[in-house]
Amino acid sequence: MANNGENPSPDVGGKTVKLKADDGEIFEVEEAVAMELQTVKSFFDDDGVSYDTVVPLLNVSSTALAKVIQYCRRAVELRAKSGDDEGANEKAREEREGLEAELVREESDEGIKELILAANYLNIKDMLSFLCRAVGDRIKNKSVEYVRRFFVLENDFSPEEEERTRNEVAWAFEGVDAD
Amino acid sequence: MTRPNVGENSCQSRLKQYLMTYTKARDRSSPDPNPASQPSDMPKLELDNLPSDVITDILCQLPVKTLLRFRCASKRWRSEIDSPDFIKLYLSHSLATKSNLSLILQRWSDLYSVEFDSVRAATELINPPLKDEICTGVSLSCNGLVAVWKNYRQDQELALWNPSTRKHQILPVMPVEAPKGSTLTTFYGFGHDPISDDYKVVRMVQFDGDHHGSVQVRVYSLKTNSWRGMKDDAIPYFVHNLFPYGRGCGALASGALHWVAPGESGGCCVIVAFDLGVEEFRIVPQPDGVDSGSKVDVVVLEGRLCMLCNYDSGCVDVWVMKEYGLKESWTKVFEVSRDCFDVCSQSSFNRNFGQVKPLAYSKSGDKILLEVDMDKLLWYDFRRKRAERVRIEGAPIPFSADVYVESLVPLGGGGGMDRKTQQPPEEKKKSKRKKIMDDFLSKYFNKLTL
Repeated sequence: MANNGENPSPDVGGKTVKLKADDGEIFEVEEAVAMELQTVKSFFDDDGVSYDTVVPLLNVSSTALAKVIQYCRRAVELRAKSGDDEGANEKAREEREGLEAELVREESDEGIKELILAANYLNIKDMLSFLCRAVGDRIKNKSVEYVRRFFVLENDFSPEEEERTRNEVAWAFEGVDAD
Repeated sequence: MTRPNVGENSCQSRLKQYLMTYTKARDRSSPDPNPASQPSDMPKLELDNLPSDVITDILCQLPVKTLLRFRCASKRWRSEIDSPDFIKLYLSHSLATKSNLSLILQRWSDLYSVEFDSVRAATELINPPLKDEICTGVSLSCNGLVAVWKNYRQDQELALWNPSTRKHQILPVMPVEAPKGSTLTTFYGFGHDPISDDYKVVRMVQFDGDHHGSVQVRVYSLKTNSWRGMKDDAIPYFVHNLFPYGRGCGALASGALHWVAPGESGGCCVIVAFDLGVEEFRIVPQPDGVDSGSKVDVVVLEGRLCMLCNYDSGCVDVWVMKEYGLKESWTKVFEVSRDCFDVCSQSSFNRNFGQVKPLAYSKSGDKILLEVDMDKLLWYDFRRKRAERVRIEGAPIPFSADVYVESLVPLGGGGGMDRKTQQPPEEKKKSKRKKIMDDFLSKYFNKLTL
């Protein structure tokens, strides 16, 4: 697996694209991988933009971008593996699910949010989709206080109103993970 | 006078298109993280952190219990979770991605729930309302709601219930008005009418248990919280054939409930449909090539009408009507026979290969979950043409399985305190119905052209 700071050497003869993260770090990636990022694809779809142009991704940190590139590279490889063979398809699907699980397993809440913002900005549908699922899994047994911290929500209920709203569904507060 | 099927299909598909367009509008095709393409009546949650449509995506992943709890997070979250748009989106997302699904196993009035994702999970018992007074019947579920009832001779109590939100609503009493000394056969249907976005209960009663006894049909609408009667002469002759064989709550497909009635004097049976929109009966054509000697049943499979033909030779053909109302669209999707079940102990299948009911495809689409003989669940693998038994700890026997999707569909209150008895039912008004249909079409059509 590529380290965060290293840029993997491009395939011989393959076209590459340069992506610049918010701190100025440049990532050189294979064209097929770069096109997974719809934002980048749209950038080059504009007439007259040459493939040598460095794509400025001002809203994405280099940490996040490195992980995104790593994910997309593996995703492209796995997609190439699957074809008509049902067995191969199933194996590729399992591998992709393993890849997704691995990506989020070690991530803190802040880390996952950063990845979501990156996937959202870069418009990578599949990645955004599984990240949302991962967050859903992470928070489904959590308390209201946890969720307020996670999404940075202000509690704008008066104490009476909050009590009333809670009592409407008191049973939904059973079995919640301790914070 | 029946509605043309084309009109009915396009209304259904417009609703689907709207929901698809709504979800597509949230996929960005431009780098702009704040799309203006959200429907204007969805409360916007502009936070420093995650964009509102990403938050909506995350909310769609959560079970109903969690969502109900998170209503307390903030006023905005409470309005979003309670909003009709989110409720619809959540439902369509759950159905499309097969999440928040479970199986309800029913044995008389006992209900058990099994998670769909890991069908091996142990069951839980849910308590329907009216249970204290021995509720005797539970309908198939529709969008997360079920109808429950207890049958007395004259006074029949009915409630609609959402097991996910644990809310229920007791229906106003509609007396049966049976002639003195007559015997009754009653059965119910429950479903959603997409034209008026209303949930309806159909009650059919026959007096005297005789083939040609008189039949009474009443329809309840949740929107108006009232019953309507159907004129006697509006009930076609073939509805009488549903009695005394009619049972079950009708398979809901394309806004209509379906039952199988035996044919006239031993001929082919017919599929009787009750359209929840126009509240009329009709016959649905069957595919060519079905042996009249087979036993036919209808169920719903992932929203489509599904016909099961059970041959004495130990084989069951499964047909799906891919386009509702179009006879040519009947497609035989697969068949199962005794030989497919070589994994299971043969002894169970030595008797007449009985009832097979398909429930749902697996997420990957390569297997289908079958209820067999009301005491087994099997995953049938299409590629390997083999079945694998699913053992469920604590499952009742016999049971009837129903695929249930969690939903936030709201029901008023929970009390039966001020239950009212309704006056003689109003006759349905055709012009009112047409207005509802026109309103629906213009409302949803406008949304599509956003």
